[in-house]
Amino acid sequence: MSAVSSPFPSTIVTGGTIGSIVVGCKLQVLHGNPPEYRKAEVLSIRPSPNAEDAARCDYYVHYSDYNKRLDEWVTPERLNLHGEIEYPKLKKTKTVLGIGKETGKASEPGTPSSSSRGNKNRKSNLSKAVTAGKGADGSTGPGTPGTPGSNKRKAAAMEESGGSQGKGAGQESASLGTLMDGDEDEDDNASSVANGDSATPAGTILDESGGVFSKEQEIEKLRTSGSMTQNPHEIARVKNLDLIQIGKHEVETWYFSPYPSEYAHLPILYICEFCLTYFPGLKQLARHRTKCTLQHPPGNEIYRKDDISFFEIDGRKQKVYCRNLCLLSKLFLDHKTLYYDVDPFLFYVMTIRDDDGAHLIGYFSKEKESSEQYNVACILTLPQYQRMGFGRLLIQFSYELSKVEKRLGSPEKPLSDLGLLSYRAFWTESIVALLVEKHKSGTELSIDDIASITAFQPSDVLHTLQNLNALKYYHGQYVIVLSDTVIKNAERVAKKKKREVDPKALVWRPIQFTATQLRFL
Amino acid sequence: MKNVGARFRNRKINNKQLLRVYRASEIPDLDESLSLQRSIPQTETGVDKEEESEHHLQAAISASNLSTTTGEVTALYIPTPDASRKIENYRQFYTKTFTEPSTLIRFSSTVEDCIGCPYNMDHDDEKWLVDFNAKRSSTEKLDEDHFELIMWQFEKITNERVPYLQLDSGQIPALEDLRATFIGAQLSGVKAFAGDVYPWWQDRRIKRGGKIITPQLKFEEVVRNESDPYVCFRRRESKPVRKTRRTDQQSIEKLRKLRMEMESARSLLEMVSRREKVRKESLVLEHMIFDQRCKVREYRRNLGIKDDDEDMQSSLKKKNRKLGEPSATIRIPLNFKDRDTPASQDESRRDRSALSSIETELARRREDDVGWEDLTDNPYQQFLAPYSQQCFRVLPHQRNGKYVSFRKRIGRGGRIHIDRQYARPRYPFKDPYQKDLYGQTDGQYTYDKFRFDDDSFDQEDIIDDLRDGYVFYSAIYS
Repeated sequence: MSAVSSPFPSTIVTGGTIGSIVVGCKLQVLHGNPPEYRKAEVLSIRPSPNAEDAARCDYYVHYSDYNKRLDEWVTPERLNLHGEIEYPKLKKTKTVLGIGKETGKASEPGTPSSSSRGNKNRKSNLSKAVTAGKGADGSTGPGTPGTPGSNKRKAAAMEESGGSQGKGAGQESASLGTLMDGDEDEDDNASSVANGDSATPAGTILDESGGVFSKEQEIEKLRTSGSMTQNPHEIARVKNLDLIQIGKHEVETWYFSPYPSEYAHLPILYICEFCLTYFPGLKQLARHRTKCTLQHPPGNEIYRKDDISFFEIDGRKQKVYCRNLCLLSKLFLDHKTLYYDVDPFLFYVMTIRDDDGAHLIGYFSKEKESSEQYNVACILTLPQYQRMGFGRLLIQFSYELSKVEKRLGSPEKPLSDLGLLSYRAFWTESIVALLVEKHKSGTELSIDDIASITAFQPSDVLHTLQNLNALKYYHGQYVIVLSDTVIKNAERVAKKKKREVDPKALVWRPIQFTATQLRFL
Repeated sequence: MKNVGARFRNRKINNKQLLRVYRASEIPDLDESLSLQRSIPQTETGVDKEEESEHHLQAAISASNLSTTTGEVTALYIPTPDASRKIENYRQFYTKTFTEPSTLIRFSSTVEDCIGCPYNMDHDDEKWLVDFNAKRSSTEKLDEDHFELIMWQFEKITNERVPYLQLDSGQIPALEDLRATFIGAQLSGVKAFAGDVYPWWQDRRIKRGGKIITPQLKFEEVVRNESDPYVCFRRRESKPVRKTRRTDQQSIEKLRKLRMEMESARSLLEMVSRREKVRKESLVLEHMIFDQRCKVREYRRNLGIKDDDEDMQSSLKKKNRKLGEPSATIRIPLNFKDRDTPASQDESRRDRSALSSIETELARRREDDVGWEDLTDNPYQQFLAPYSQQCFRVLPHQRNGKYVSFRKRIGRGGRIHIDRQYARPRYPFKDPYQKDLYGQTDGQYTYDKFRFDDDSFDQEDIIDDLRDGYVFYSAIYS
């Protein structure tokens, strides 16, 4: 498709042909049930499978303001070619970026403006420089019309800040700069709020000067600890698998996972539900199943209550299983990174037992030694078991382990949207229950007290109390106020029949690792 | 509103501050606006900045906010792709039944141990095998397990011998080389088929460009720093071992020393406490002995036995002697008694003879001293004065409340000097008639010598008490 390039870069046009759609275009796409048009960005184009017309293509689209898990391949019929189509900006080279910066600086003294407006100014200058640069070597660029005039310039700037996501993987390093500039306005606001709270963990996601974590910084950080990538560009944008079959279930995948590239875009990847080995075909799965003897995760069972069990698995000892587990979970976790090996993690696998064996429901991984007091690295309930209260069980279990360790814990950041909601629900439920009890006995307690009883980090406690709108100022001091609706909600939640982790059923002592065992080689 | 200044002071909430828990109905006079002024900065959600604004997440968050403020319950879920379909033919693949052990499972076998032959034949293999078997009689058919075994043996040996086959597929091992590795009970059974399977395997392997037939994960990047999303599970470069700095070493040394000292102090204290315990025990025993002796005495008195009173004493002495303790005046801690070994017994016997001679000597002296009062029985013995001082002799009479002492010495040219000095006697009291080294009593000797030596005319005394030398002497030797 690269032969068809946009005649109108960085511009919005109304109407177009299917042939003019390139990677990076933004247009209205039919989505959902009932179907309606939603703005989406084309991330990839591939020839349609099983189509007579060789030129017919499928389009991988990302709906704006939707999570990436809803990205999908769509047929050309679902694209609204009559509406507005926003074409991607042209790529720029690093040298051009340098020029842009200089011109930006030069222009600043002349414009009396706030810092944020200064940024905008710089940006527009930058984009002007880019287009000018492109125009200069117009022989390579496809007929670039110079975009003079402030109107056009403004449009370009807006587009840039709106989303620089239209870059292919190859252009990521160049587009990084744009993204930083575009986000700066928002970040300024955010940091002015955040600065009031000195407890903001510095440098986790943004650092003041550089904006987004550099790749080197991130990899260095991952080498010593952590399992999440902070850099949105580290995440492959087009998922490589559509459907997996695991045990009884057929599950649509959500994100990219680095299963061998030979398996990319298979209609179904078959996964043995006990050893998590993956196969491209049913015959291989059937053959494997005649030989595989596993009927539960290959580790020590540390908890059993009714049909739920937890197995503890050391990443160093069970490399193949843990790698398979990570590959599987990466299908459903966007920010999980498999950059480094599984050695520094322990995996706590939750299973449900029946006559066929102990079936994997979900798991969480945990660093053997967390430098930032995380008690969970990655946590996942497999999609076929979601919305059944298992996520809550996993979270509860992770805090039970922390209680045994006599430590406070918090999940590694960034959280996913689903992760945030699950954690918030659990924190709310636990804290409200505790507060109701304390209200009855009339005892006062501090945020640290709540933290030590629940093993939540104080910041998470504070976060929850804020969400409950429970911190009030009354008669010259802070108090916790439980509104009637909060209590009603808590009673409603408590009434639901659900599984609970029974701390008595946990047979576990924290494993102590020596310094050499933690050197990972 | 009394204190306007305090109203606007935004005190941060302290994690250690005790907070009272109220229900909203209990404090109707709560001033919401005051709380708003003191609003605590929002903590971060922990969700990636770019994703925080996503439509469904925001909808879910505002729905939950709504339920805390108004109580309106809206079950709002973030939509996720479908996961509800189930397959029909599960039983076809999963046939084993699971019986759970009654105790918690402990399991350390790895996946590799549990999956048998790692090669799993695919559809193409199956087709080839069916074709192959069709041409053969039922006795010489190759079954799937054996087929996989052969394929895996080819793969395994090839990977060991030519790990970089994909770079040069011409190096593919020949059949004979591979067949030679079919050793062992299982493999030699299928060796006959190796030649039949080899062309098929070779074909597949070459089609894969020399790579192993079953696709593998990519662990290492071919080109450094090129971000290939398919590369995963990289090895971590080992962290350089942190060099211990000198200061660290020094403090470790100090800590070690401190620990050693603490330990030795502790062991000393332990020993002391042990000693004290033993001492206490011995006291108790002694007390018991005393009690019983008292009893014995009482019995004796009651029974009218009187003559054996001496035995009582001597038995005590005997006992002491048996223990080897000379009846010396030095008091030895009681627990030392126990340490005496039999070897020291004859030593104590020798001591005893010496002791008896001392005793006879003492008896003789006592005889001599009859009619005299013995005032020398003072256990305190002063150290000897320097030799030059020892030569002074004290005159037995006082002058101006002081004793005068003198000495004779020979100076240059044979001149004889007599030094005098006022001095208190070096001993609290010196018996003038105690016999000295020359067998004479000091008293007689000096008395005789100075009987007529009267200094009464010598009123203008040449000795000045306050002369430095005398002060010095008196300070040191008195």
